[in-house]
Amino acid sequence: MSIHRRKRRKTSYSMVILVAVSTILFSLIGFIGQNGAYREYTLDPIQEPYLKLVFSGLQNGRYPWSVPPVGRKRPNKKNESRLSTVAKIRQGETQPPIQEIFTEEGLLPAGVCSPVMDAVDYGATNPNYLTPEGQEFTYDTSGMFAPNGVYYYLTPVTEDYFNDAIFIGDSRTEGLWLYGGMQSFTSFIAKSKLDVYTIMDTPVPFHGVDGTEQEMTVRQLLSERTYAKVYLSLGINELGDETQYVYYAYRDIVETIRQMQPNAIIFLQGIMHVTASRSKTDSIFTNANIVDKNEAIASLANGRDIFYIDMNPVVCDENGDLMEEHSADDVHLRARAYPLWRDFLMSNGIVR
Amino acid sequence: MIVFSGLEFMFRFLPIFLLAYYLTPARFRDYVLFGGSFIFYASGEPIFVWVLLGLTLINYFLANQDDLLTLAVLVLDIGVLVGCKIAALAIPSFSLPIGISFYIFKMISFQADLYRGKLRRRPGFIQVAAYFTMFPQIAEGPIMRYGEGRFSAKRGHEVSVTLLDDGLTFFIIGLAMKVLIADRIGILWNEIVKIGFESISTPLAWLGAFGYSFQLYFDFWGYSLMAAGLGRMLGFPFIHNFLDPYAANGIADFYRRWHATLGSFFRDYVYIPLGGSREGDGKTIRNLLIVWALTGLWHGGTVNFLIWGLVLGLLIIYEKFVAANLMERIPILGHLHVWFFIPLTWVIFAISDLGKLGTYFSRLFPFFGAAGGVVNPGDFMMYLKMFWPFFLASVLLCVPAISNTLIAWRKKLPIRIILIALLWVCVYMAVTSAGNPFMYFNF
Repeated sequence: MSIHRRKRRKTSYSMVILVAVSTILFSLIGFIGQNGAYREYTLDPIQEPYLKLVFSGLQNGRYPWSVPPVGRKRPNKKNESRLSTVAKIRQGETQPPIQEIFTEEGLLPAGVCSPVMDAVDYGATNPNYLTPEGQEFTYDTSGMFAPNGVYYYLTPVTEDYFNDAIFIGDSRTEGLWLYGGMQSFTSFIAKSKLDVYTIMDTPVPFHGVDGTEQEMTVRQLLSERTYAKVYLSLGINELGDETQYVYYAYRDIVETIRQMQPNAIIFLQGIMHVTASRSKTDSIFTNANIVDKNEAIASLANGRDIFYIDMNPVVCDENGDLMEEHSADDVHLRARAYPLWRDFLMSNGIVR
Repeated sequence: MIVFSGLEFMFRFLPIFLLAYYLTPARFRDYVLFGGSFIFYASGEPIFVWVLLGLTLINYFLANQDDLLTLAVLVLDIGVLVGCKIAALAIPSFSLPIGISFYIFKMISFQADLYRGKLRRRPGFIQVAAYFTMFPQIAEGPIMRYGEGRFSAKRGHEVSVTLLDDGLTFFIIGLAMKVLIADRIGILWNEIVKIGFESISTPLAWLGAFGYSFQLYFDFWGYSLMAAGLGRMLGFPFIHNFLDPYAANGIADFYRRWHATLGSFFRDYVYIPLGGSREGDGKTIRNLLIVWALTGLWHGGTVNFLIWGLVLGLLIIYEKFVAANLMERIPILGHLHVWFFIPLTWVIFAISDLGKLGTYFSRLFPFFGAAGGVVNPGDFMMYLKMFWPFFLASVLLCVPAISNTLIAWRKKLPIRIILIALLWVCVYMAVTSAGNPFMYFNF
């Protein structure tokens, strides 16, 4: 072989070095900060690398130099949901235990798909919402009731009713904005992935009825504008968490909204169920889990100015499963089914 | 642990495995490879790993004894694959064991190569066991032949820092393709499914078809690069599985470049034994249809996969017998075939319900009436705004001049710095998606 043609083979180790150095760096930062800036995260050191803390933190705006947080530890989302004891008991029963506070026929009024727990009492009952004395409900009543058996009256409304309403929520609200045919008369602020932990302070698209299109946080919006009705629809992203975590976070949100919008009626929308095929094969996205979360959410209502409404009867079959024809992915409504939700909303307003 | 792009594989399994592998003397490395791959597979298939072990033993100890035994083993191999595919369709709680379509084909190729003398004598057990189960390839291929793996009981596998370096580079390139392009652009198809095909506009239908095509390409090409990179780290040769398919001149050419190891498997073990193209036009057409029907069914058991395979077979027959002269005279025609027909065939591949498939095609070609659902007239622009960077990156990487140049420059420091940054972005994705039950289903 000619010596002129001998090429020096370039050996290169730079990728090994870059990977090793950066891995060690991130791991050290995570390890050192595990009880400091990253205190709120849980980590299993055998299965998970310390560098994971750095990236979890990055997602939530926590940096290695951030001040350690106080307050509630974020639940480890890897845990499977454990149904509350109440729901476990109920699963074994053939009849819901609070049957006795329904009408004499024992029928669940339409609009309430899940049994309601004791309503929280925030103060004196507003007589404007009470059922007129002597009113009889034969079937298909719409109503939301407190344990003393009195019906609070949900009534059909027109499109104008929603002019001063705001719809806050996750991807399902996003779908309602896109396909519900309501854009001309109401406002939306929604984005997929929003959950009870991120809803208030994540910048998301706001679509105002006045034509405003802006990216802002819910907190910002509610401090700048006043609404007479606030619709909240959250929960599908929290199904993997224990109900009590979700409940407390949800309650914080309702209290915040009440402070920021003292005169608004707050509508808490029940989480929509999933199809039977998803409910049967998934460990987290089951209708039993959803009903459990909805019970907790419904308990936040007071039937006076905070109401729990549940559109599930409109899209579910007699077993409480979302009908296959209304969903293409077992979890969301398909575009052509959103008008059903809109129609439900228009049949279930509260007029003061 | 079985997902390459997950934290458990990258920061637990792989470093520990590499340490054990590199510390082991070369000629014993196949023991480590087999053991590690067993653990790897067991983490994803705790029950079926024993079937894998059983098949490994059977395919080794009954190989090359006599013709009847070889036939029996082949029937068993094919039977297990077909049986699992049918079970996956018929029993809702049963899902196809990871990688079975790939390692069964490795076992078949092993039997056939021994029988035909391509492998002159049966190698050592641990070499063959490592070949069947090696973790870089077990989940999604490439379908390497035993001979290509350069196994040797005496020499083992030689490793070096250079190989580790190069393998790591390819691993990161593949990882970035999968996580940063495929997984992102895949969200578009999920959104379209969610809306319901009856409610998408025609432009969105086409955007979806191309988006799905890119998703499939970068997912699979990315995985193949990761597999090849891991192989390099272990001292194996680089196995090519994708050769710029979207630059192909015609559909036949496309499938010599797309999932090349599968194509060559069917060529060597089905097409050529049936006579290939050497026994007249009639037999050639028959052989092509058989190969493509089998290719379709290998990918999936529902009818749409069979249709997919046969459509491709017919297109290839068309190119070979009808359009051959035309394609020679108009060089761009072959490319147009690829860019127009291939995305449409991927739509057939993607949708298993024939009714829904029909709906999608009626949106692609809306000549027979309006949509059956509510169409958001701004849907195409909305999704284009969201996904244009990924489409741009996809198109650029489909140009051989660009992708090959980038790969040729992979040893240059500026490119490496970019790759390292991409690595940590991928880790970020893995961390933030891990909280969700579905990788890219964020509600």
